[in-house]
Amino acid sequence: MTTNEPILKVENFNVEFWVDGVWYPAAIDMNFEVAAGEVLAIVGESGSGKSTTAMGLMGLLAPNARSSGSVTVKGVEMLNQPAHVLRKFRGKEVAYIFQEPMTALNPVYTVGFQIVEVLRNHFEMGPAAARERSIELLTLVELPNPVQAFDKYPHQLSGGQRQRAMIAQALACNPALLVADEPTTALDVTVQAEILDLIRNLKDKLNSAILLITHDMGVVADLSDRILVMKDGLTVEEDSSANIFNRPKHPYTQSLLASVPKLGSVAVRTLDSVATKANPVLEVIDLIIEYPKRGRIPAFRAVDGISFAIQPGEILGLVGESGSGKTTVGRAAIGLLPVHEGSIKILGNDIAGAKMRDLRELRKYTGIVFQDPASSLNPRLPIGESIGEPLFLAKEAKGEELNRRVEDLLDSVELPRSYRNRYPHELSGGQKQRVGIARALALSPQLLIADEPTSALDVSVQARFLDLLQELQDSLKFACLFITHDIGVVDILAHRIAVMQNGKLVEVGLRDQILNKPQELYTKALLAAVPVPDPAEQKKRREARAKLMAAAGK
Amino acid sequence: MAINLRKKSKPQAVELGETGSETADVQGLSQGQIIRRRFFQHKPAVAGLIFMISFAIFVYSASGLHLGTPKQPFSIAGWWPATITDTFDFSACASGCPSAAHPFGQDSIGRDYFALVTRGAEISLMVMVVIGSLGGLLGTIMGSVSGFFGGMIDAVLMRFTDFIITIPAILVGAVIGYKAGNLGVLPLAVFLGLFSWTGLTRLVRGEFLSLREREFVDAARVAGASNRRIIFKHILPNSVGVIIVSVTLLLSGSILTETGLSYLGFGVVSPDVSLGLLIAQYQDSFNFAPWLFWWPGVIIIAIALSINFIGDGLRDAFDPRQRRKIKKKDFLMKASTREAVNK
Repeated sequence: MTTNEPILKVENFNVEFWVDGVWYPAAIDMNFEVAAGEVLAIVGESGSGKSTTAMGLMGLLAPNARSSGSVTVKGVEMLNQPAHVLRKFRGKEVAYIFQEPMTALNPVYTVGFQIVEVLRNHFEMGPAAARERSIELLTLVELPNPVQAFDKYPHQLSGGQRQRAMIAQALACNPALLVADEPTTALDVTVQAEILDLIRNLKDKLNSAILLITHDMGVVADLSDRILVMKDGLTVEEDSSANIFNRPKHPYTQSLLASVPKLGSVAVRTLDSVATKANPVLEVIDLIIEYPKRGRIPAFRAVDGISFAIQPGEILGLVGESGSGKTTVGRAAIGLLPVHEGSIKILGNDIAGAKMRDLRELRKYTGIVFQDPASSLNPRLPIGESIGEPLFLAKEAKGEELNRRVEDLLDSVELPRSYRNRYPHELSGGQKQRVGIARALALSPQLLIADEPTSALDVSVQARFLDLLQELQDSLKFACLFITHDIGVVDILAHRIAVMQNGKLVEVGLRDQILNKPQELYTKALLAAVPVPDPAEQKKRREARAKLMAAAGK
Repeated sequence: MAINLRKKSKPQAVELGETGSETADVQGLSQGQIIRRRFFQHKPAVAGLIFMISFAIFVYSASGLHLGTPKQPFSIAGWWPATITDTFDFSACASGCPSAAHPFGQDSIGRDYFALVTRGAEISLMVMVVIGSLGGLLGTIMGSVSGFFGGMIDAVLMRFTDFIITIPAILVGAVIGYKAGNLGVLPLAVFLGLFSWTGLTRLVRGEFLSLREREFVDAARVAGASNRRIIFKHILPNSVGVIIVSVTLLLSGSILTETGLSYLGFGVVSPDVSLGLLIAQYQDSFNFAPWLFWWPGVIIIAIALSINFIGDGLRDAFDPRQRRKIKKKDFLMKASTREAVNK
């Protein structure tokens, strides 16, 4: 075997699923190789078959799937091998990093236990030696306080730390091939940047082959050596990273690249000067929100004295990492959380301490789009009824009239009218989020609160969604509090941007001012963490970010 | 040959349930309309429902209505001439086997078994319906309120539930049956119903605890929904699976509870009968007079099965994921057989 022999070689690889008596292809004629020390990124939207391909490599597919072709790891055939052969390779030669570390780690065992388990499954190793090696691994993935972290349960770690622990587990046996399936999708931009840094460093240290699965072109920009673009199970384009980014041949690749929000690429959105003089739609004054103490857990102050106002027709982008309290602000502004101190005024009416009846009256003027479209629609209610509910409850429409209004709303969010009798699970993520908007806009509110509406969506779906929201806002002129962790998204929409950290407002200002001349270090760090789909540019940004972080550390 | 022909002509009736609804897709349908439509597409459930309704009508019309207490009976006679107290001689069949005069046979002292079984089924159905609806209703409401509001309300209701659980229902049933045995079967059924909601309450509360944290509840609240609407329109349909499974078990269980009490002599008292009592009385007659055992047994099984089918149908109708489609394979198979017929 020469050193040039690829670690993973996939030839004519097909995966099909048996659904209702028909075999549906999920991956068609895949051919690729990954050599040691090389990163191959498979990029595509959800449903393109990229995860199916990754899982199919090691026979980890659902029982209703069949695969054909050839997959060799270090020259050994993997496909359709008996379980005991595969077990020797799984974990040892081929390791996986999953998307959601909270569900991929077992919640009833400590992080350390789960790493020790992998080690002792594959090596003759005593508990003490395994523990030592585990702590070594946790140090390698730069987990703070590795010795203490060894005895912690997954829920005691933050999202980024959990993902680091997952990576440590994957690296336990020095795998020849590391398969990372959307390793950063569930994470904030800043944490995502850290994890990407970590994977990059590890690649150089360990000389493993890495197969990176993602839908985000920004993520792969400076990590991957080669890129394979997938659509509907087919390979659309495969080329070196530089060629894909600079000279994409296939129109689909081009559209994928175009849908990643680029900072400062959109013209400034201006407000009518008349509007700014009117009374604010939403006014938040010295707001403090606390989650009350529960048993031994003390009360937690999620929002600590913030003030801002939104004028009619204005979009304010509220940006911050998870845990910064931005969602809490949004939920309080619509009356879902009690206000501890301060006041929230909607159209001049204070909702702090307001009665249920008064709140219900004010809800006619407000709407909210939730973060997770899968959970914010009642799974047992046809979507037509979900959309019509605010109208029905506000006694605005009934019977035929209600039907007509629901049809209008479906038209306005560009969904076919026949969808009204469908249940949420029959719709895709992007379509469900459109239903969410339609419901929020049913009563033509003057204030729309959008709580991370795009974080569960693919980049290309996100781009279409943002276009739609912008069009609606242009025609309906509602004020909007747009909450997000992704500065790239607010860049497209917002007139003004507010940055939150640890329950406090760090910086508020016009969009251009925040994006081009950020005053606070935190804002700068947040901006620097946004990945850009251009390897050369991204490299520059990464180095600038490293400098910034080093300066912050001092 | 005749059988073959019939088999071949049968597949012509292609189910049009799903395709027939295509046109309706453009109209807006409410949750209730969709659930009704889906329920009536579920064949076993509809069969179960038809059986239960026709069986109840048959049984009640045969033996008549019996209201009032044992001391002051008030009854309307049915179309079957014999009553449960009349005894006949064994002229039709020496062993009391089924005959033209006594289609279900006669028991050991010569009573008409058809009269006994229909009267027994009537009482068992009544006991089942009362226990099931009372237990189901109480359990659902207590569980919903407890799980939805939480806090003090939850604590109080749950401790009360614990208290009820600690009391063995059969023991209290025996005491009540003994003290008030002359009140008849209905008060006993009501009483048993008042003690049978605890398990369901726990399950429904658990469902509510997890469902109330979901975002669609917040979405409904933002849309202006009241607590009552959130509980009944949004959360309850999502926990229908648990409720139906539990109530189905409760219904079958209620027959057993009633049988147990009657066996001990505290439930349905002679001369009244119930299916459980009949089986308990004639379990030894399996060898020499099997019809005494088989009739009530088969009827209990039929009732329990149709309840299960109806429950299945309801659960599937409420759960949108259980979409039943005509399989492509089936279409192909049907097409090929039709061609074969044409040839």
